[in-house]
Amino acid sequence: MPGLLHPRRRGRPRRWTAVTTGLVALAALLLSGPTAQATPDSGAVTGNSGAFTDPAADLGTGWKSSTDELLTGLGDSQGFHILEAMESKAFAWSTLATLTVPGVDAASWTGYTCPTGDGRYVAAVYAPSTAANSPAQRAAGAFAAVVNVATGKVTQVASGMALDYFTPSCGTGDQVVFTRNTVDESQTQVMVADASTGRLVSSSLVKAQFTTPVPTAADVYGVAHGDLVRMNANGTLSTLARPQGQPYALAADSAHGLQLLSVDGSRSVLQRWNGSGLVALGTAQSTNVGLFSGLGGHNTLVGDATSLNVKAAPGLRSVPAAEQPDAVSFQGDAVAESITSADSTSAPSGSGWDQPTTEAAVRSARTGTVSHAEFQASGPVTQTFGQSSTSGTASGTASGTTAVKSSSTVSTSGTTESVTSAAVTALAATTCDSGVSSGYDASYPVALVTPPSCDTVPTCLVARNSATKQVLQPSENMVEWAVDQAVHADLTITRPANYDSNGESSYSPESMFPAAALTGGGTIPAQVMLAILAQESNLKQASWHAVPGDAGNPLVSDYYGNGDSISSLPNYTGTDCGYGIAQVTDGMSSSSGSPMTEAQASAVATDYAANIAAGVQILGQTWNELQGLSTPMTVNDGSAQYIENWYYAIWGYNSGVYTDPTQNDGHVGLGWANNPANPAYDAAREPFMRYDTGDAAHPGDWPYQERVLGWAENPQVTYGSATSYTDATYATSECTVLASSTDTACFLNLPTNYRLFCSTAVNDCDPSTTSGSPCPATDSTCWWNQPVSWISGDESTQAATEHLAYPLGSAEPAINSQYAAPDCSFPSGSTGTFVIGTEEDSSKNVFGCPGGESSGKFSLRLGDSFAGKEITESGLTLENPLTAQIDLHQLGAGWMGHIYFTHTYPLNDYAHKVTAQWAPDPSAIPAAGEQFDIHIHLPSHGNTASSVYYLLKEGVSSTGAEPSVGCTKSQVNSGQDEWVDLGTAYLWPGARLLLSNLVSGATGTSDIAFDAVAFSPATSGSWCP
Amino acid sequence: MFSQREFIRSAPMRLLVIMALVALCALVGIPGATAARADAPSCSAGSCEGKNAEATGCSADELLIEDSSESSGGSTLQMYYSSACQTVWAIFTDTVEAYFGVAELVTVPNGGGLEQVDQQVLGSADTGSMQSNNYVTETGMTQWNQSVKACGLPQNEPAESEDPQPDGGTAVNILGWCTAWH
Repeated sequence: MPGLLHPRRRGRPRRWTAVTTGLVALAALLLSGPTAQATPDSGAVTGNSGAFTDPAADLGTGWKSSTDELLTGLGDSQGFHILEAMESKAFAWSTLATLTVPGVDAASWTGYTCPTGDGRYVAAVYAPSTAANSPAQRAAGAFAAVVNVATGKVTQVASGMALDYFTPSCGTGDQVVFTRNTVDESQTQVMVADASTGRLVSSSLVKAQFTTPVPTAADVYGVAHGDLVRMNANGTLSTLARPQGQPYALAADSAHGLQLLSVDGSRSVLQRWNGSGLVALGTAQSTNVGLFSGLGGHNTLVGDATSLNVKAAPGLRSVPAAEQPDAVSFQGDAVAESITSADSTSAPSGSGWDQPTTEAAVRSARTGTVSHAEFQASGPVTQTFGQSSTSGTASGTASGTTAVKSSSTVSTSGTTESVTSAAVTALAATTCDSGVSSGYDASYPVALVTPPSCDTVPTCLVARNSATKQVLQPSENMVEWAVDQAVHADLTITRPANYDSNGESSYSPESMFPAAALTGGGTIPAQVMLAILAQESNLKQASWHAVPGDAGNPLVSDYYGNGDSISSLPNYTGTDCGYGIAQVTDGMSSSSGSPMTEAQASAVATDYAANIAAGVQILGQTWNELQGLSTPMTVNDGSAQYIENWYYAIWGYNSGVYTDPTQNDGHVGLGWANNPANPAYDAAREPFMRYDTGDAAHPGDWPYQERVLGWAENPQVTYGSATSYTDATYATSECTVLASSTDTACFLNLPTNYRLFCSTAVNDCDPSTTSGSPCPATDSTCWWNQPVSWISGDESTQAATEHLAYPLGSAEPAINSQYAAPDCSFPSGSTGTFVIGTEEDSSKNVFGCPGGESSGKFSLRLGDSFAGKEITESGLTLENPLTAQIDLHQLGAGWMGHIYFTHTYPLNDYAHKVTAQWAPDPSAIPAAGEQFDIHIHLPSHGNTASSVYYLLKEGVSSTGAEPSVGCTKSQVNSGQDEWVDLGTAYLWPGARLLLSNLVSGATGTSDIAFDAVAFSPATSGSWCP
Repeated sequence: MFSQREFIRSAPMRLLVIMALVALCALVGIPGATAARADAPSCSAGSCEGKNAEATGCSADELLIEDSSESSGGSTLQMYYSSACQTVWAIFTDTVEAYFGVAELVTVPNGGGLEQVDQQVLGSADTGSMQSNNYVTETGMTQWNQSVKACGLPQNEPAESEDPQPDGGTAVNILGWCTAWH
């Protein structure tokens, strides 16, 4: 969506139950198969595209020749979609493009867009949704691209961008401005691109936090230190004026001026920069005012404009609205009131096997008629930033001009870009000097190279794709049970030795990670912990590829240290190692000061209950750290029983509590990154998820604790519309009965003043919003260390407490598995039948499958040049194995409950190549040869590739020949475990079956499964029936 | 080894010669000269690493699992497998006269990853053998339970870890070649 707007809903509060009803209907719709109410001619969407049914009446008679359109973006599990609705098509939605980054293992995507002032392009910044949780990823972990509206062509611009609501920002022409921050937000790299070429034309380092940037033909304007500023080419700033209030929206207008919205107290102020001064154009009655850029600076003001002098702003039109929309059309004819994705409001159901559904409501500005759409947004999938670059300085790093240059060399045009800015100081970069360079001269034999350990030795303590570290994905009821027990130090369940085949001794989560006794007494309210888990991992202990009931790899953040990108080699010096449902990070890396023991690390990675116990311990310790400061940082009456009083501890859970007064010039407390006054967050924002479930699609608009408290107030929804956990217990005064229904809406008692954590005496931050100056330094001088209270008097009637769904001491509930249990049986076949499974010991699974004797070996070979060098010959680069592993996953499905899967990729995409080999024990085949029937096992899920090629090497025949035969098969099945006949062939010792994931025409989006293969002696049959 | 076509006409002398041969072969332990031993092999899988297949008895149940010829000169690489020992090894027959040849086993772990040259045996008058003007070099064993291939190279290459065909066999300008991966 345009970088200027922020999703807010004002007017009558609407509880999520209304949305839930919609989702129930949605679920019914999807489960029942193709929709019976599909509108014909929905273009690139399947479902109801939302075209106005009577456009002449709803949109006016000129609709068919209108050039107005809606252009916006929406992220979900499939990628970041660029959505378009043209008035000449009655505002039917279509998907221009779906942006993905191959190999980035993201459960879902988030991002922002802006249309250029000439309407020909849409600029996009997009990132995995989890980037919003990480200050480093927010600062420089997003990707930028430009999409041609007429053709849908995508041009990637650069990686390493900031994820903020105001970027990208478009002007009146083709210029687009992007930003990239240092992690401490003290410096901003400001980059301008020409949308018509996708190339950066300037890049300047501003030594300040630079927000709401706007490009004009000649300059870049923005806000820094609370001032309206113009940026000079060398990155210095010229102060233009001090706006009234804290700015949250800035746009170029049609008369070479700028329109600016800011918040002063609880009202929005409209101002205009006319080239020499700021002119006040009125103060609204509320903060329900938004600014949306239009063609050539003819912008649209949406919301409550009654007290605003819109006429005095050149080119500005006004559209009334009770709530802020998600998008507005160029010329203001239509308002997209809400655009949501069924999987952004809920925990993604796993690997995108269930296609998310987009709901949109578009209102005609002329008549107020609303058209509803329900469709699956799947445009032409464009993979960006997928080419291998071994310099190590490409994506994932924040190195200024260096990254800028390398990004242009991977663009499709291949020409070098011209950066006109003077030499700028590069932002700090972390690279692993692999010593491996591309284009290595192919002179043979090739000496094997040993890349340095920073490329090859993982630092996260628990490995991926290990048979003894298969993680059962819990269902939501188990998670709530475990939290209810853990916060009361009651998670005393005992895991037996070798639990889930983990090879470990018996343990109890509570003994391993005892809950911290809270300073001041009391316990953590369950809904606080549940909401943290919702924000950290969408309640997933295992990789999001595993649905509840599956087993999968441990969920680990940035295991490879390269921002989960395939564009550079692993960089194990830069790993994050946040494991599991609570994203436990401390001690889970070999480079941490006090690493966990092997037993602890295994439990944190594989057992959701142990992970929750560890998270509860960390949260309690954070509370105690805050209470242990020389001035205890208490919230309200300081009692732990109230959810609202955990505001600081949640803030600290994400970005840490600074406790050492001998460091950082004596500054202690909570950092600037999550301070609500930080201008990185929209000053006019509404509480997260309270009025718009679409908020979940762009979490970057809110600081961490506001998102968590939003999840506590609006429980996360699973696919199928059931809530993942129960509501809190609210004080009566927190609830109101909705006027026209019997529904009760209950809201947490949250601070409404975003300047609450500002004091000129404490952190150089002005608490008065009449002056727009938050903390200018953004360094430790901005850290907040004071107690706070926004609830006075008896808190018991004004704040919420926990609600336990499970009695203390109750037993672990049974799992709700999404799929039926996998096939644990030995196939019936002729005497002498043997099976080669994907594990050496197929009894290692979480389902209790007995396993079976394997008369053979299963091997995986990754990449194409195992010698460690990247060799270029005949124009192809043969890739080493280090990047293909990133998109390889084990999964608890298929025969005996274990498979591997990856995606199919184009034929020459060696960086992603995975070759599987099933080799029978040569002595299981008579030396004279024998005919065998070969069956491949396909799992119930993890297999969507429609055409893969099995190559059978038949071994050494009696004549010394080594014949081979191939068979093309579809892996698509009916969603049940089954054996599929590959055919009959003559085998000799040395025979083996091979399957590669490189397939002509593949795009990196279809799943290819590596499951068991059965060999049965046969007397007749044909190959590849 | 003596050709079996040579014989001594005189029967008693024949017997004497044969007994002497048996004694001689038993002394030098040349494989094949003595009766097949029925004892179990002396190692298994990993413990066979680097050991000679014949000396350990692993070759008793050997199976040929790959027979590869180099395209131009007729040199061959054979890979053998022992079920009793769960090992593989390779024999490189180099037809280029005066080249002693280098036989290699190259391995990759079963889960994928970087390869290593598990063994590199430099042929020489001591370790190789001349058979019909070809130099024959045999590697020691490595365990079968991994990805493994065999390679043959000319000996005048530097003795470092090398792979003549790191790309799976499509390279040009090869000095040496490899079997396919097993």
